[in-house]
Parts: sequence; structure tokens; C-alpha cells
Amino acid sequence: MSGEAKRSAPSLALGEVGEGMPTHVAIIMDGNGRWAAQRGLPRFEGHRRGVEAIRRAVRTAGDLGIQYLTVYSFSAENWRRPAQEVSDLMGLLKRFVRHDLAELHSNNIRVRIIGEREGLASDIRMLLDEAEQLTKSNTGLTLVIAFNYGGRQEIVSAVRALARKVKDGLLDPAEIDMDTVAAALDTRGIPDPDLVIRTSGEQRVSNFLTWQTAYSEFVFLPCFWPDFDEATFRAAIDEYCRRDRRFGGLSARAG
Amino acid sequence: MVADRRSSLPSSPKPAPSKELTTRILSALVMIAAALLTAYWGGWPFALFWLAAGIAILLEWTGMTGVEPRRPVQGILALGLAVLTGLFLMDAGMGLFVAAGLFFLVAGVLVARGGTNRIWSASGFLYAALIVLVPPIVRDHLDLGILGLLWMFAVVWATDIAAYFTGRSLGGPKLCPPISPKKTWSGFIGGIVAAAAAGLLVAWGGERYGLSLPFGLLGITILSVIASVASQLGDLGESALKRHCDVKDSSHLIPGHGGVMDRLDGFWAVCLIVATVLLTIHFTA
Repeated sequence: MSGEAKRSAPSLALGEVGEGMPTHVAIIMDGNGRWAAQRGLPRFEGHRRGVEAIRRAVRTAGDLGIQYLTVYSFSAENWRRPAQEVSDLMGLLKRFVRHDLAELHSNNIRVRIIGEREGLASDIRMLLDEAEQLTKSNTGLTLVIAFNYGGRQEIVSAVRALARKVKDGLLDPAEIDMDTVAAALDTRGIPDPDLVIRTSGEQRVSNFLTWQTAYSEFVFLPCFWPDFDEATFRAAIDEYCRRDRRFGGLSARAG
Repeated sequence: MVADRRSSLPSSPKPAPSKELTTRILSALVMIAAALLTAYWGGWPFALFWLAAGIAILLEWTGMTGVEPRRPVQGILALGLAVLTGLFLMDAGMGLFVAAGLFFLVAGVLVARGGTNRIWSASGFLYAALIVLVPPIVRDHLDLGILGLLWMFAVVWATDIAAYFTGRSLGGPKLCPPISPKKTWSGFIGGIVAAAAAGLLVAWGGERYGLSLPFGLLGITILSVIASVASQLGDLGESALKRHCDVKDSSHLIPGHGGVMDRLDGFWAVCLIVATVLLTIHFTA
């Protein structure tokens, strides 16, 4: 058993970087509240431990040679949660960026934020802008933080932007193709995710990267997000590597 | 009366607990329960609990040191503590925080009459502000959280209890007779040992719940020892202040304990250590 683990770990770290490895992994970080409830701890502790799990995931993604890591941290739907919970989550993201930005920057990590900025408190907006500006020219892992993000909302604002261009005579409707739409999304310049991981056993997409996940592989893990560690991450990648991705054709690998 | 009972204690094999000790233990239990429940709850109940403690300390401090004009200074500084709590709950930035703190500090100093009053007013505000802010900051801190807070409680409580009982049962040379005639070296060391054990126990219990502190076991032991020493120095410092002001208790708010300051002097010193560590990390990172 342990021999098998030893054999598979180096193969991931060495042989498969770049080849079968996903370029972009997106994670739906679910289960912080349930993790805390299961232990009788305050909900906030679950979120706090969730931040530690993000740090671990960023580290592991870097070790594995993944180029893009998207974390879905606070969705547009989360606003319907109780006010205390929303403020905890917001405060947490704020603290994560404030606390870890310098370290992310020194690790050559580029931060991108996707999601609605309108309607966020001005201090949070400033913090998100600062994170993007500071790390703009970093060349390592790109950490995409989905904050106040909704896939449909993103498509709607892209449509609105394109319609405005058409109205102003800058764009011919006949010229709109998939690339035009993709370039109008928050994720412009970021390749579509190869792998989407969702923790806590839920098997839904929940309005996450609706356009971008058309051909993504999904791996659902039973563990709650705070328990997500290097071993779970590697197991999910292993699962992904076993899959035969066809992109609608017969076999992408054969062709 | 209390003294009579105490003198009979060593000779009797199974001593009946004195009435003073019973009251002391009962009110300690009530306070421990309140501290733990609000810590679990978090948010504004927790922040208000420590605001209340801070305001009580402020009133005791200014009362003990005889700051004049008493009520206006107390009013301004208590309002200042409430504003700081409000800013914390609104998650305001560091700049606004420091600005508000300085504003009320200066206002208090300006209203107080004469040099000595001004010093006592400013130091009382800073003393109280630390107790108001550090516990909520620790609970919300990314790397500390509720476990960090429990560690602070455990270390202080273990120090207090162990120092009291080892000092009483072992006796021996006095720690610092001019300030505190009853404290002994055996109590001091007993407190340190118990604090290290309690700190490790919290870390071990935290691991079982999936929580951990960003220090190894050795780090936790060292920090617990430092915190225990700080806690006992805080206790001595407060005794020295009371001696200076010629009072026995900072007030009589807590049955069997005296004032809030008497009860939180050790915890205050641990808050100071934690605040120093956090600020150092903040400005060196």
C-alpha cells in the first residue's frame, strides 16, 4: 500500500507535469460551516480553517506545476445567508488578502479576481484592486479568486458589454463568435478549467464558471473544505489523469 | 474571621473550605462561563463583554489613582473604548483605528487637570483599550482563532490556580515581599509548570478538533512559560499600583475577588505579550 503511494507520488511530481496534468484547476470550496458544526465549533472557525486550506491548495498547485488555480470563495448567492455569516465571509477574504498578499507576491503568484465589483464596500474593492495591481507582472501560478461571482451574472454582463458595442457601431453582430464572448467574460485570457473539484459531497455546479466549464472534468470529494490537503488534491488529480477527455470528439488523446 | 479560619487550615487534616474561598470559586466559575460562552458566540456579544470589562477597568483605574475631574475624564475615555469596539465590529482599517484611539486619548489628557492626572488618564485608557481589543482580535485572527483565545485563558487560569495552591501548600521563600507579602517562589514556579501543561493541553485538544496553532509543541511550551511569567508580573504590577494608591482592591465589583482589574491583571499582561507579537509580525512581514 505504502509502496504504491511512493510510486505514484513521484510520477505525479515529475513525469506528468505538463503532459497529462491539468493546466487550470478550479475548486468549489464547500463545507466550512458543516465542518465546524460537526465539531461543535463556531461557524467562523470553519471559515478560518478554510483559509488555511486555500493556502495549502495554493502551495500544492505550485508544487504540481499547475498554472491556474481558481477558488470559488463567495458567490453572488451567498448574500442570502444571514448578515453575520456574510460579514464573517467578507471579513475573512479581506483578512486573507491583507494577510497573505505580501507572501503570494513574494512567491511570484499572480492574483486575479473574478465576479461583480459593483455593490461591494469600497474598502474591499480597493483591496481587490490592490491585489491585482501588485501581482500583475508575476509569472508563477495565477490564483483566480471568484468573489461575489455568479456564472450567469458574468454572462449577462458580457452580453450587456457586447450589446453596447453593437449599439455604438463598434461591433458587427455577425462577427460575434465564441472567442468574442469569452473575451468579454471576467476570465478573459485564462484558459478554461480542465478540472473542477467540489468538496463536501455536493454534486452541483452552483452557477460556477457556467461558460468556461463546458468541457471540464468534475471530481466530487466527500471531505469538507477545511480537510482538503495535499493528499486529497493529489488524489483528485490522479482521478483526473485516469479520465479520457474527448472534448466531444472520439478521443482527444488519440488525435 | 477569615484569618481565623486560615490559621486553623494547616493543622486540620481535611480542612473545610473557607467562606471566602467558596465565594471566590463561585464567582470565578460564573466569570469563566461568561468568558467561554461569549468567546464561543463571537461577534458583538463577545466584543461587548470585553468592552464592559475594559470600561470597568477604566473606572477602577481612574478611581484608584484619583484622576480629576473624575466623571468627565471617565466619560470621554469610556466613549473612546466604545468607539474602538464599534470600529472593530465594522472592520474599519488600521488608520481609522489609530486615529480614533489617539483622538480620545488626547481628549482625556486635555480634560484631566495637571500632569499626574494626565499621565494616569492616558495610561488608564491604554491599559483598558488593550483588554477591550486583544481578545476579539485574537478570535478573528486567521492564524489564532478561538484556539488562540482558549490558550490565553488556559495559561492565565492555570497560572492563577496553581500559583495559589502550590504557594499555599509548599510555602517557602517569598517572591517579592515589599509588593505582595503572600506570594512565594514555589507558587511562581508551580504557576509556570501548570501553565505549560495547560498550554500543551489546549494544543492537544485543538488537534483533536482539527484546530491547530501555528507553533510546534516546543513553541507552545515556551510561549506558555513566557505568558505565565507575564501573567504573574502583571499581577505583581497591579499589586504595586494598588500599594501606590493605598487601596486593597481595585473595587468590589466581583464577590470574593475585588475588582475587575484584580481579576484581569494577569490576563492583561498576556494580552500585552500577544499584541506585541502580532504587531511585530505585522510590521516585519
